[in-house]
Amino acid sequence: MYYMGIDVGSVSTNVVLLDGCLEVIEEIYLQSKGSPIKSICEGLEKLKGKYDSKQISGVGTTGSGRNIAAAVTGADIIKNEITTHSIAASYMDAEVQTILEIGGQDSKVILLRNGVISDFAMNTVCAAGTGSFLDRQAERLGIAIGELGNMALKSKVPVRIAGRCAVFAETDIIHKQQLGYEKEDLIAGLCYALVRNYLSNLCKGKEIKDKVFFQGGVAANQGIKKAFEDILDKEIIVPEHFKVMGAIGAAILSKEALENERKKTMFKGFNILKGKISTDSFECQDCPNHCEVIRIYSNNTMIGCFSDRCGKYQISDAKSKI
Amino acid sequence: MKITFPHLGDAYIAVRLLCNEMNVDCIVPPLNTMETLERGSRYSPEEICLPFKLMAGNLMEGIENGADTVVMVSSNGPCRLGEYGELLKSVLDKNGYHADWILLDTVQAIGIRELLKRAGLVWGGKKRSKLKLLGALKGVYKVIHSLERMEKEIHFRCGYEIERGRLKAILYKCKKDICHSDSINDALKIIENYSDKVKEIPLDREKNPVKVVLTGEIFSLIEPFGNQYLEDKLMDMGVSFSKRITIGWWIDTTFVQPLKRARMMSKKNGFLNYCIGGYAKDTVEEVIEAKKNHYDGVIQLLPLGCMPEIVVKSIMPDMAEELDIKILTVVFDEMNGEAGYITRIEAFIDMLQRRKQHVLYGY
Amino acid sequence: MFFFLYIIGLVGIKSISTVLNAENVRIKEAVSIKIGIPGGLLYHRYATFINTFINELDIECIFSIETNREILDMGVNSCVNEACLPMKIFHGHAVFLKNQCDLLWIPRIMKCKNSESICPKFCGLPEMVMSGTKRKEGVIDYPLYMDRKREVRHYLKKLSENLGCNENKALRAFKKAVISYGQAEKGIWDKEYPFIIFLAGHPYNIYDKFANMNLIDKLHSYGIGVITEEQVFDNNKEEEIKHLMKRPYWLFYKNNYGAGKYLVRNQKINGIVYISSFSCGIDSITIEMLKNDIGDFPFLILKIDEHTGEAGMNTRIEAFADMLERRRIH
Repeated sequence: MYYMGIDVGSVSTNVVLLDGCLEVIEEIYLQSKGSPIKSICEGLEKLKGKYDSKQISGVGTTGSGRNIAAAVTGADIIKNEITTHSIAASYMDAEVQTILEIGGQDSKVILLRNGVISDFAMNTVCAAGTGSFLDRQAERLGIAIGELGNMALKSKVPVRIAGRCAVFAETDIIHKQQLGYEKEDLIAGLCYALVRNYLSNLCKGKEIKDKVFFQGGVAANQGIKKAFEDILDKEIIVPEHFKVMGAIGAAILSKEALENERKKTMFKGFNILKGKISTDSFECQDCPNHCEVIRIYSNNTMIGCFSDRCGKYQISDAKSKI
Repeated sequence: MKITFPHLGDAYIAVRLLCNEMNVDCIVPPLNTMETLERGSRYSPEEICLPFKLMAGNLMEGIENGADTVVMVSSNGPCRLGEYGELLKSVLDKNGYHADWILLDTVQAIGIRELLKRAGLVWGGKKRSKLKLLGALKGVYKVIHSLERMEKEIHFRCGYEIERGRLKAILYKCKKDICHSDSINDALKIIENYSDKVKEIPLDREKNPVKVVLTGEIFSLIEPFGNQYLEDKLMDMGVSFSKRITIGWWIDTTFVQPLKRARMMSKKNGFLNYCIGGYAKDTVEEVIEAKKNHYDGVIQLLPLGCMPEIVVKSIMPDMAEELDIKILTVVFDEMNGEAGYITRIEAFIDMLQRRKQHVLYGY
Repeated sequence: MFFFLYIIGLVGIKSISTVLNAENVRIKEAVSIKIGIPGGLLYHRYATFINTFINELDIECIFSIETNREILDMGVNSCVNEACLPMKIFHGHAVFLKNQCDLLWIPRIMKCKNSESICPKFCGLPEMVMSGTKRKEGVIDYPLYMDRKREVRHYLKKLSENLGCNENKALRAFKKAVISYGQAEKGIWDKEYPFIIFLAGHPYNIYDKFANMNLIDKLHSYGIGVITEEQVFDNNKEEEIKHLMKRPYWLFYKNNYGAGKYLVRNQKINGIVYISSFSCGIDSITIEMLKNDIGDFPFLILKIDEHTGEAGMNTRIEAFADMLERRRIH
């Protein structure tokens, strides 16, 4: 009895396996590198040797690539990352009331009351509060991203970095760098700037109550955690599996959904890796929308089709009945 | 004289029928697509709202297809819509798209006589039977209303559908057929026909779907491209939803019963007591109504930079708290990726669903 | 007969109620109400007016300080992200005054003269501020229609009731304020500089030195003098907007567009600098219309918001000054 959760994000693809009691027994964290299908296969490959297809009793997918992942693996449930993150967090600790999540390309705040989402906000437009901004700045300063957090902790006087926007903040960092500030102080300043951006973009008018969970890839960074603690004046908890919370939530949901509907999983088995999974895309010329339609094939049979607005390429039988 | 006009949702269906009936040459620009937006924004000022860019694109395409007169509605502020005409003319003229302009302004701004004069110009200055015109107007009014009635019915029934997708397919087929019909009577027959079909679709009355109200800025609500086909998505998700602001509603409040609206606008509601332009006050009132009618949530739509709706957005948290209703504000702009906002809508619907179950199971 | 009695009765009740009201007022006066006036938005333009009015009323009043970083930060944190810079600054001033006054005065300007308006956000300003600052009580928020005498009277009546002073006193103060505003020097017209440019934009962007980063002083340092739209006569502006399809209904659209075109056509200026806040709906149209109508003429648009860097602004102004210089030589 194992439940699989797959979170396909823009930066990383995570696969987790939970046992029947919903304990995490496998946790795989991979870089997406622009090809979600490849990284999904890579993740499955790692599980293939250890487990049998029949042992998997449910699959859930989430993240921006959730539909593709579902088409490839045959998922029982496809859920957005906001719901999955909150499910996982409230499963870990029923008293969680606030979830701060910072991922590679977007960031979210989720408020839970009695274990149910009561409000949320998500930022996709501004990069100033996301992991990719941090990556970029670390690279510019010539520091490995892993060391960023520890370096920030060493700082005594964080530099105040102006600007609420990634572009302006970067200009200011360059400026301050040239003025000769210490690297540690600059990095700490960067963490504070990111947290301030995050709070003003997402948390305006939202009541942040204990307990506060901080999850997502950026939660590995101690500097950001400290900045949150300082600014919010609250204890911030980074859960054990902070990197893969989305995937955990998807796995939990798959169990829940299958038990509610008393169904068997639609998981296609690890055998899918044997067959050839290929994609092709074309620009549909039927209307001026010119949708770039993507089709996924497994051994030359179409298993999924995406990004057509009108939905005419999708496998559906409802239409033919009119 | 060939007239063209910018798109606003399904208005083109009605305008085309009206022009057909009155023997006025009219060129319907192609429906809004990414291409329209790209063309429009190439010539538009950067910070103008999304509707302007789309309208600019529509008119360019209309003029390219042979139209020589642009007909547009206008308002008397303080929202930007009223200045659209002026700026559109200036932008299009500058880029070599010349046309005559007929600006159908509000009565308050130019007086009823001038309005009628301008409306007369649309008919090419020729004398046409007033009776026929009245008849045609009445017919088109009927088409709009019966189409909207059907649409509303579909939006509501969507949540109860047993086999998802059939109602949506009917709606699309119906609109397609109307576009090919030649007269108002044909169109009415088609709608009637499809309305019957809607009633035949089996429903699961035991279901308890999420019910939401769509509200916000009028263009984003009426023009499907302006809200990135949100209604389709809600129908796909099996959500029962209602939307009060439609073209029919706009016609009613602007021309048919302006006094009723004026009376409504002067009423205080405790959250926003004055009419501040646009449809801000309507949005606020709809949230209150939604609560009264036991809806689960409200989705507010606005294009980036819409001035009146920003005011509403700022009082939304208060309303959500005091009325105990969930509100999601979605800001559309052309730079936004689709993925982000779909996630938000999905998460919102999920949230409402889970809250509902919570209440049902009582834990 | 009965009818007469009825009338007398009515009058009687009315006079009693007036007395009662007067009683009320006296009690209020004894408490002495402190009114807070945020120094944002149109305060910059009407400072003379407001100061005289408050002086004449002889009430306790607290003004917020000049805009600074702290005020801006408070504003940014209490205002919706989508709003423009001046709105955020106003919010900041309101937060600053929030706990220091009994009544917070937030003008809700619905209409100006000739039924022109400013911006929808002005009509909903009290709601925005009340919701953003969490101060729901003790706010003067009634609508102000400046185009109708009766409405202004009504406004003054309500205001005097709230402030606990005599209505006639308020009216007198208002009249005095109008006179002193009329006599005051409005706008800027520098004459002793080699160049002169038309500094266009909303008054709260032009006169708020913090928001525009000392723009006027910067221009002066490059030898550029400034003229603002207040210095152009109304009838000249009116003349310039006559050819439009539709009469503009925004006050500042009319002012900036009309004045800009007039100054360009009569060759009174060397260039135009338009200072505008990001996402300003009115400026987005005004700038485009003006640009389309004046043709090839030096036109610099400076956009400001809470993260505008001063360095970028300096570069642009310097380049513009150079351009003016070069144009003169050629």
